[in-house]
Amino acid sequence: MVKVSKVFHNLYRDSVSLMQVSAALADRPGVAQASAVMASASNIDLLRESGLLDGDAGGEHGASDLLIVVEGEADVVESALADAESLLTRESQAHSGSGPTPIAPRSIEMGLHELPGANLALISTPGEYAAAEARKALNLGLNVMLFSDNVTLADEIALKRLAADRDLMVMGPDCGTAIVDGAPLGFANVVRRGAIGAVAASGTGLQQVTCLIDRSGKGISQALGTGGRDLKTEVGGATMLRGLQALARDPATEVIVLVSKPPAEQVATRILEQAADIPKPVVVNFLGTALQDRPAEAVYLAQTLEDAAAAAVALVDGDEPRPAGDSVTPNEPAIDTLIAELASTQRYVRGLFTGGTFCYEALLLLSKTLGPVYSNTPLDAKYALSDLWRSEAHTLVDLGDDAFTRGRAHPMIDPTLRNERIVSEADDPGVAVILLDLVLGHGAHDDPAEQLAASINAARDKAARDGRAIAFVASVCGTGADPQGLEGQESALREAGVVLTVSNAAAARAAARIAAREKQVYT
Amino acid sequence: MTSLHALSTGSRMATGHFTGSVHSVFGRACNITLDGGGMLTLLAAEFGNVPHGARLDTPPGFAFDRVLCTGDRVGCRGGVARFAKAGLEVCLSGARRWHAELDQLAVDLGLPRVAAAWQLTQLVMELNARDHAQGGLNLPHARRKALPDAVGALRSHASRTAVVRLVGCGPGLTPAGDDLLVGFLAGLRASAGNCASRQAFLAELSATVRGAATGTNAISRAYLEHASDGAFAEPLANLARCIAEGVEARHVEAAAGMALAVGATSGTDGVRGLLSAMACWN
Amino acid sequence: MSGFFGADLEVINVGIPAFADNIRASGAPAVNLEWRPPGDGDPDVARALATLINRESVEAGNQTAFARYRGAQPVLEGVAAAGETVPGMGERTILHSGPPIDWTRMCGPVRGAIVGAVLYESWAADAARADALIESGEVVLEPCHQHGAVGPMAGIISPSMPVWIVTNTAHGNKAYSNLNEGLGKVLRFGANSPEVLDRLRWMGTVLGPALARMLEQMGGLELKPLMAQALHMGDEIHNRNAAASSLLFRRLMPAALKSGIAHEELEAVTDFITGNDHFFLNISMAACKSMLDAASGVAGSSLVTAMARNGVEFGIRLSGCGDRWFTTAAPVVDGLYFAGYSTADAAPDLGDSSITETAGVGGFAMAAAPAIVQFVGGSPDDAISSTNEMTHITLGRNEAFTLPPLDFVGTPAGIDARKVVDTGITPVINTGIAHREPGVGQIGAGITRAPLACFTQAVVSLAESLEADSSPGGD
Repeated sequence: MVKVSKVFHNLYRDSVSLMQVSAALADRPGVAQASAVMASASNIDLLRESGLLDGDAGGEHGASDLLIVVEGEADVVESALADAESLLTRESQAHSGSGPTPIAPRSIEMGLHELPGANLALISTPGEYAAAEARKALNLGLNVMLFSDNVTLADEIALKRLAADRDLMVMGPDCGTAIVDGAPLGFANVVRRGAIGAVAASGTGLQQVTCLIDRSGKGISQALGTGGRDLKTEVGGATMLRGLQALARDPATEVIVLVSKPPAEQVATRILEQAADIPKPVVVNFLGTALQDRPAEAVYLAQTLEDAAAAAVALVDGDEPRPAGDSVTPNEPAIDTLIAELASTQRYVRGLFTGGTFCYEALLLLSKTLGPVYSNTPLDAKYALSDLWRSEAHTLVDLGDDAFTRGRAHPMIDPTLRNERIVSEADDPGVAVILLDLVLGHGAHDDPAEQLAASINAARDKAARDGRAIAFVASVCGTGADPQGLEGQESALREAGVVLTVSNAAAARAAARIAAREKQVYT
Repeated sequence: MTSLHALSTGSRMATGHFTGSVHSVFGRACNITLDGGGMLTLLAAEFGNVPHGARLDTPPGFAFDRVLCTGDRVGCRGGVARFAKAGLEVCLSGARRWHAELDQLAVDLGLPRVAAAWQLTQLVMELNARDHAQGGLNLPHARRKALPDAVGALRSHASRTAVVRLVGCGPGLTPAGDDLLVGFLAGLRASAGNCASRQAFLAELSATVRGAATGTNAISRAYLEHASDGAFAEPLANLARCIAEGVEARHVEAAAGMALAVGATSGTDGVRGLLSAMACWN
Repeated sequence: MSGFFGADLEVINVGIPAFADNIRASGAPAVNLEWRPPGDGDPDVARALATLINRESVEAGNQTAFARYRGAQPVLEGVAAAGETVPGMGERTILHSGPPIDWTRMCGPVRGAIVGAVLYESWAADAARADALIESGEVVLEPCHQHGAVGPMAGIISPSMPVWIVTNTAHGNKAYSNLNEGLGKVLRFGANSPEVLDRLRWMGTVLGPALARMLEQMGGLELKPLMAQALHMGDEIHNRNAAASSLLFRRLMPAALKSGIAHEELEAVTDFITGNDHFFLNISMAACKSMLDAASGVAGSSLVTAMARNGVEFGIRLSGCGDRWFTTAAPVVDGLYFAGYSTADAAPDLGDSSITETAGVGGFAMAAAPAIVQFVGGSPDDAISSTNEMTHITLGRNEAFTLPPLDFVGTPAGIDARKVVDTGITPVINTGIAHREPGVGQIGAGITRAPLACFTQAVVSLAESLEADSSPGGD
């Protein structure tokens, strides 16, 4: 008499089948006993008690496995076991036929059939269809990121209300950037995972903050976008508040950063109230806000994107943020040299921006130190450019504004317009310094520095023929892991003689100093 | 797309969004392990409700195992569960929510009609019970008896030992000992009534069952865990109610028949446990 | 937010494909849609559609409607004169295929057929007088569909014509269709010569009553099992009916022999039936009509209950939109033409026979009938792809009609107008092609698609009616 056993992993057969196998085995001539049972500890005990099993069943096994034991004559048991195995195991009939070549999904519902675990719809269709697609997604239970713009305010309000009803999130419309669970959505940089969460009403604002945090060695848990209009009275900050609450509940987030242009007053109040109630520290950057006082114990106000990032980084280390002040601008000797090279006619800053928020932040900073600054998106309507294609005095231009992007791609994707403008600015003897932003990351041009450097060199040569030296200052918004290759982009610009900073604020301050000829006072 | 709709769903079935994988598939049933923990069971229309599952409007010839494989991924959004590779969608929302309360039953075998119902159930069981296969492994009588003996005397330690020696024990995909335990818990819950000491004992025993449930496979574990929270499948719950209310003989007989018919032998073991527990505390 | 952070991100990308690439490169799953504006590109259509997606009242309506369609049990109970059995059939009523249309706009074959019917009924002595009678308004012309009936090609039913009577025993509703005349010069292609009229008279006085006696002898004939068996034998029971017609004949003959019909008549009847491979078509259509009528009139349902053409317009109906027709110009079919003919000769799509596709057979079951590609074009693989494509625009499957080449899966059935508009996938229809001139006959066959415009109109209408019903601030 011999005893054999076999364990089957991940094989679930109904009780009738198990009974039939046991019975069929026991019936075979030469078999004394047989059993097909689940391999739980209790059954192993029983099998030992009944003598069907000596010691262990051999091999790894647990309560989820199936165990067959046979006791009988030596020449019979092995084949009996093999028969039992073939009785129990059978090819699954499912997915057996060569399936139909699946057709590519056309609708969100078809997409859900292909990816049933989907939890977000990223919508970048033309604006007139975007709201309808977003509504479909919400009805189907998906969160939504609405990259599209040209969605009406009424639609935005209705969609955010529908989302609230279903406990879902709408990021947008006109939300260009988000980073969720480490995945880049839209135009986003490749950023380290970490403990800082951010909610922003500006795509480039979010990009700047996340890049600066990454450059400081810290990381991002989630970076959410709300769309540019979320903090208007009519929308009430719906998405920013939902994002704030979600980050408050998120165990991976320790510090929260909120970024926006100044919200409508009631909306700002509500946001600050909720921020105060959260047990985590919250850094608030309402760009251009008049608020000066700390609203609450753990709510910190930052005046620039750079300050917001620095505050968050400090808080994550358990430190108090340093009070906002002028950060030290790099390359001090280089700036002094540039100042020394200026001719007396050269007085003005000309800023050419791809990111609207960078333009806006620079307007705020430069207006404080240099006086009136003209723009296509001015702080004061008095200083609106009469001809968008001709700068006057100090001018900062947002090249991503609708006026410039009708019928062409955004300047972050197609740099032609800016590169041409750089060269034409060089003709103006009043230009002292040209201020730029370079945005890297997914979605941006794959080698913006190359053509930018070429235009800068062309502009510099042109001015030099007239005996003028123009200074160039650029902030680079990117990380070491971005697809463009940060080092290569930076060195291309440095070779073109550009003063580089990591933050837009620092670049703006450097440009202001050059134009105002403020040499560094070395103490 | 093959489309099925839920006819009714158990009170403890996951609602809202979820993702998971198919754990095991049979002709008329399928189990899903949820990524967030727990199990969800899909049943063909002819089954009674289970706490953690949905009964679907399956056509007569429909077989889950011709459409689904172990490991297939599933996601549920907006009330619709979709199986990617299978071209199958199951609409889980909008169906009647089923649940049964055994706590209020307060079985009293001192009442003649209640005792009669209990005895009739016992009789039906003896006449119709499906026996385990001859030969092979059976749940030893001693292990069976140990539990009611300990519980009847409210002996905590002995009860705990008895539970552990029953979990995962015996033949069947849901081992006989597990089915017996589920039935037993149902019987206790139906009999505890307002008695504080019994309720306390039941709570402790339930906790023991929940803790010991890791000693058996996932499918059986789900039933044990729900049983320890007071949730039972429809045939068993219905029988408990019929006995407790001492209803007419033909209703008792029908309910007993349905409860005994569950699975291959699970039903019999469950009814045995139910009757044993009621007798224990009466 | 349930299931947003913490659960892993999985994205459906609608628009710029590069976004999906970037997400996948980071390790998260993303599906990119081949997206195009829904419907005809009208943003208002897109908005109306969006309000219907996964909307509770529509889902509930569809569940009810589809269950009634699927649970239908059509039984062929008898044959009788249309005037005696078709509801609303007045003394001077003639029914035609497709959505409603005025005499003056009707296409050649339909006009020829109506004139033929007037002559057959002896309401006028010759064609000219028949024309005058019709133009005077004396003759009431209405769609078959509005009387529970369906007819292939011109689909003409007049009071004296014998019609099949199908009862859906599950729901109690009845559906009717005329008897198939066979091939060649026949009324349904607009021929109205004396030969055609003679045949119609014979059908009314001999064939119809004979069939009625056979069916009485049989006690009725359950149609779904027969149709299912035909699908297993290579028919799709719209353009391929040979197996179904044979199976029918096999059931009728013993009953015929027992029912005491005179031998001469029996010989003529037998010759007639066995000479026509499409004899079963009209029964198939009536069965499908009975299944879909049972599913009609369910509030909120976007199930398509009829697709029909009159040679000028293509029309559909939705369960939740009552009796409304949603119409657009009927397409000319680009199919396989018989020698000497081309699309220049073709009448636009004509007939009620697309009721078969509406019920999940015909073109929807093409996978079961790969041989049909010899007549409609394409390859056997295309036949299978067509069926599979339909799974994306249907509510489910009809398990009564299984398709052997697809491992006996049920045929996709229950067209959901929302899905048609959302995906741009239109229902496939296998169809015969008629010559534009009356009386010439069939000149080819092909695979055509129901035009999208009908479905966009229907979706807008359903959305509007639901908005009107719902409380302010509701869904």
